[in-house]
Amino acid sequence: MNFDFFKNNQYATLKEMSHLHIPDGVLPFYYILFSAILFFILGIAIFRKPEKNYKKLPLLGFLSALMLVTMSLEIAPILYHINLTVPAGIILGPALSFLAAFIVNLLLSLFGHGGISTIFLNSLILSLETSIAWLLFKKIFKNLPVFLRGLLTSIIVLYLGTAITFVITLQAGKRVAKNQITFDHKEELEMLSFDEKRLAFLFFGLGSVGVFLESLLSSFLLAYIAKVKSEVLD
Amino acid sequence: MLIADLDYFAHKNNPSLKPSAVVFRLVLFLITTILVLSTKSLPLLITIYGFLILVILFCKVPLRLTLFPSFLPLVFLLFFLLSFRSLNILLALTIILKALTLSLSTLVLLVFTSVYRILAVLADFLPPLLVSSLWLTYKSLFILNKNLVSLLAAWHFRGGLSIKKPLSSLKNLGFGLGFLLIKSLDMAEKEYEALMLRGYNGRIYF
Repeated sequence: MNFDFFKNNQYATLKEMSHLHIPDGVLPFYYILFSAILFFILGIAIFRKPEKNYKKLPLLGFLSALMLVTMSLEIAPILYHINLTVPAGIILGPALSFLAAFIVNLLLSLFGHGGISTIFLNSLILSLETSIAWLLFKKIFKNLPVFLRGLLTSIIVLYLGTAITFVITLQAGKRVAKNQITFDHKEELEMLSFDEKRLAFLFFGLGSVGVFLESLLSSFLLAYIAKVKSEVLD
Repeated sequence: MLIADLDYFAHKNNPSLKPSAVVFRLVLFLITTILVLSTKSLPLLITIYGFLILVILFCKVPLRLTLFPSFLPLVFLLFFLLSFRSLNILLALTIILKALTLSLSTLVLLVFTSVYRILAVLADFLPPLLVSSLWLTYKSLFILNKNLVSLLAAWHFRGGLSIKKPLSSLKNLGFGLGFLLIKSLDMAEKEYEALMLRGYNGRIYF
């Protein structure tokens, strides 16, 4: 018996990301400013000699597009969307995946996904995920079989991304609650508070199903590449 | 694909858009973004959102290209708002409207201005490496989406996602995506050769 859990519809490339994506209007301005400054500093440091990357630009284009396109694969019951952060990070390496993360977030926010003001922060989180994926897969777990390497890397990386987003969202939520109580309607909003346990359940509880599925999928994908064109993963 | 539809609509309605008009729209978009992010006023947010909807209705833009996709940030916002205890309706509305207004404003920008024209203007300000990467990604989206549709069809013919054999289903899909990734690598090599033959020097001329 087959269930059509994966759908490919007209919003291809534009649906919810598999990692949580912080939308607009949630974060304080200094988060946006600080992340933009950090992003530019890192960008300038990484791409001091841009001509070195010319050869890999088409690959970056295709892999960024592949990350976006696979986001149209929706696991219907939990609204989870696959992306290929881990394989893309492993193949592109930390420098190019930094740029790929920015492009993916920029295109997503331009096409109705939201997060135009949080592009830099979301890009930093995503590029951290891709860089750690590269480090774990190519250096730390290099003696393990490819499938297991992929599985461990994906689980660690996806949970790390979720944890960072959780911490940022928690801070933002607490700030929103505090500001409202202090300045706006003190009498009416005295009970307003941000429930970290509820947020943790939503992020890690529901998110775990997606993390598990995506980790398996990424591992199968990497195992296939290792079988057919292993030099890509070397 | 939404991107293709947006671009088609933008190009069909403004086939000869001048760069100055693109700059004007980008500046307007920037002002809207700053205004929405900095305000705490619910009436102002409602006004801007209402104005954007009026523009959409007045210009007869299909809602499936603008209004419906702009609801996507609601998924995350739902997580965020559900975590509040005793949430005030005004506060919830303000947070939701901020996200929805910005999401809708980007779609309104794109439905009237094609990505090609925006990139042509931005190419004068942004680093060439970034513009090249954006353009190549944008081009690749159309190629890969076509391939993904075929891949999913093949996957469904092989059983799709079966509850009885979840691992085997994921394996089939993973292998299919692996195939698509390898195909992407080959296409990227050809793309690079094509760029070199055309004298690519780090800058794409629009």
